[in-house]
Amino acid sequence: MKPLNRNRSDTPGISRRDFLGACARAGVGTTLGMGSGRAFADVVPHRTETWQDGEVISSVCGMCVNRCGIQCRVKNGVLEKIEGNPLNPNSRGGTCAKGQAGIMQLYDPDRIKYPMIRAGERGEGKWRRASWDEAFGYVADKLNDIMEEHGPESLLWSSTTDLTETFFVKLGTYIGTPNFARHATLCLSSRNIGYFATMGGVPDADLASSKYILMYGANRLEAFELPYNIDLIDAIENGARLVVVDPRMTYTAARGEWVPIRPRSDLALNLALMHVLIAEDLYDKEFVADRTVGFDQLRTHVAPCTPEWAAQETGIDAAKIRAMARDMAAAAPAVTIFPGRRSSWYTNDTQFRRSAAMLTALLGAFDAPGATFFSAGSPNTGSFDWAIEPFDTAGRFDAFDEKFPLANHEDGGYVHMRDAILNGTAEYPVKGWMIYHQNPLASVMDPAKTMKMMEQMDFICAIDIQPSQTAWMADVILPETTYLERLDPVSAHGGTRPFIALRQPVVAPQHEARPLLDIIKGLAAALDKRREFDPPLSEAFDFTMEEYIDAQLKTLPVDRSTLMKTGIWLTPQKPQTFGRYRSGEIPFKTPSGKIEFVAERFRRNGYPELPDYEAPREEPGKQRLVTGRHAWFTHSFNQNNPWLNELYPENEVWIHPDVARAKGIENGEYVKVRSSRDEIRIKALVTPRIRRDTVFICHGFGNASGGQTTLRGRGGADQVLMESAADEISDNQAMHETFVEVLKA
Amino acid sequence: MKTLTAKLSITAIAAAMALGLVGEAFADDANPKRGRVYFKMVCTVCHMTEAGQAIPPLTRSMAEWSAYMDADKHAASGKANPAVSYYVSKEYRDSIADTNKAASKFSKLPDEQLRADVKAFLVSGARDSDTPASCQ
Repeated sequence: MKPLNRNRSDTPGISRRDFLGACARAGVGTTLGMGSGRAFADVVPHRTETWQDGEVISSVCGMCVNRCGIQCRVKNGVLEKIEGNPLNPNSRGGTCAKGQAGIMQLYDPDRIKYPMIRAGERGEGKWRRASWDEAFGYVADKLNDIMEEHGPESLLWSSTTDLTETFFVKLGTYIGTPNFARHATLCLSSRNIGYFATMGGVPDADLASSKYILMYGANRLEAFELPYNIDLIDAIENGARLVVVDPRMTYTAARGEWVPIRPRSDLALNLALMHVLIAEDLYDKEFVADRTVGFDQLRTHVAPCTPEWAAQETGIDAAKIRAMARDMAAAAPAVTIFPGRRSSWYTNDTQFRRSAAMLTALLGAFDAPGATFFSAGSPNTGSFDWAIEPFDTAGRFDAFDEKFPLANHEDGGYVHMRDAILNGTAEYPVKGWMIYHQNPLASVMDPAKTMKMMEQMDFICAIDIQPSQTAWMADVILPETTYLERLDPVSAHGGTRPFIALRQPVVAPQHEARPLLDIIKGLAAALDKRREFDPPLSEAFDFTMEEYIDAQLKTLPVDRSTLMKTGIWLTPQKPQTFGRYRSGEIPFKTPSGKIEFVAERFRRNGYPELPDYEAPREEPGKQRLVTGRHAWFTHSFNQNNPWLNELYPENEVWIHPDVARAKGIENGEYVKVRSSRDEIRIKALVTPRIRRDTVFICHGFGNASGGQTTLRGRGGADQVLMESAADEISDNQAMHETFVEVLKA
Repeated sequence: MKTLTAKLSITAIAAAMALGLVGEAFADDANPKRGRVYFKMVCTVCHMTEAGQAIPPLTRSMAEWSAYMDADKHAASGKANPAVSYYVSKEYRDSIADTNKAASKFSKLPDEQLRADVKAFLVSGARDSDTPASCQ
């Protein structure tokens, strides 16, 4: 293990040894599959009475998107320990390694400490320190220059999902740009469109009561979502079968049955499973008759999709496919066809996700214990009384709404957007880029193209905590506070026990970092001095975070001061009830009010109304590249965290032993991985846990910026190898469509 | 340059055409984005307060929203005035203008225009439209 090579004297409280010891034990729980639902709690003490001294402040974690409850021990203004909040019904007192290492997100020496203005060439790493006033004025000047020449619509506004994101989006809206690029097409937009078209929403999963759980590539035990993880482990211990269809054996697959499917053939598997259910009369006839439409067309559609046909496509034995269908039918309705989360795999993802929803319906595995279901939603928080937004703004420069009529037009799509700029098909120039907590050079495939897009920008500003790859290429970086230093809007959660939670500062802001709302106010005031807006931007943001929270709470029987003490407010306990959709009491939010096997919405927009399968292409002598997460990291967000990086300093390329042997590659040696786009150097992990036709690289390594001193020089970047590809319906980037060669270095 | 309003209208009208609703779905210059602002800031706020829940566009089909707006009968709410048109009228807007920014902003808009805007928004976000809309 690499020794820490810098002075960590500002890292208080918990010692590195304590942390590493705890995480190593947690790692056993995780990497070997978490022995029980209490594994986290066993490793991480979560009872407040064990804390000897210091103030305990309840808040909400921000190390990934799941917003687990945390309790922070603070002594003399220093954060010493982060533990789980046992009152949180989702995370239930647990906090993962990332959550505990939040301390080093706060005290990371690499944090952006003050506003910085570029003093050299872009990416050269030469910066000059600026005051906030100077930085606000500088950004406002640059944005105003672009607006004067090209109009406000020439500004691109990119952000990622967070409790505060709305303030950043609102600033762009009030300025008058329609050009937003948000998180959805980097993650789950194809899943959303597929499920909405079929059943009118994306369901939750009652994993804990399930008897049969089918996951396609979903690696829940590493891509953490604590409630799912705890419920999944409980289900397995209660005898549920977990079947994971994936080209590699993930830690999740290791806890169940691994079905090593040929990449990009998941849709063929689903068509064949539906074929068996219908041919053998195993489907839920009552549910299908009462709550679905289009069954006859589906029966005709899947008639040729025999298990023998699918075996050729998927590499899964026909007998195995039949057995899967029969076993699911026997367990139905307590079957979870897991809807998935990240659906940025292939160019047919929307249709594949649709097929998963259709399989759910055939089994009648919906709105019943152990099945998927629509949760009651999160508590209804009050609306803040925002100023009126401009509504006669320009259309998008990339005509995204016309190219992708079923997608969320306001979120935009990165792949199409970038192509429109680079191919000259943009309806007007885009010259300024404001980026909040988003790292497109890491999160969007083929970053060489993104670099070209950046080259034609007159101005780029990044608001971030870390000097990410993208921030490093900006002209100005504005330092934001971490989630541990700021008050955020109320966090509302659905599920079986809806609740709200409050993220609040546990320590004072470090260095000169400011909360996003303060940054937005500063930019608004500076822009108002240079240009007339309707409404004036300063007026639109003339409120405090406390006032915003109070507006959210006005519909709920809890006030801010109470929430700040407890950190959480739970709705009255109600048992989860099922059956209202099954009975027809509540219609599905589809045109027919039922689950739709045939999607009229697809047909009228020129897409197949039933999912068509197209065999994957092959490239002889090469492997298909797939990517995913490691449990310690979220996207590219925290690989530079010194504690987490010490646990897993660099990533590897997974390669099957037969392929490695043929190439003379030994386990642990550095190799070259080459695609049509780029080449990287990375350590080889020779393992039978991956198919021969596939290699895997964990995302978030390599390609570090000059400001990320812990991460720099470690591992290889998967995204630089990827060729641009996107789902044809959603523009969800398709990250598993690239073939690579693995070569001795 | 095409405006977003125009594009929304095109999308909504295309969807409405599929159901044979064009001609009755929108006034020629209906602005669904303005309708969205009014619906979110006036209708939804009241629905949340009075009924405890929003009534997003995706809860009805395009035909249902069109018929609802044409029938001009506000759903059973116990309100003194049962007409939908009342809640987009200048009279109503004036009555809440002191406390509602959207009512104030659109105080001079003709009643029929605002009603057409709201209808266009509801139809374009209906559950059988291309992009079903919530109240967000």
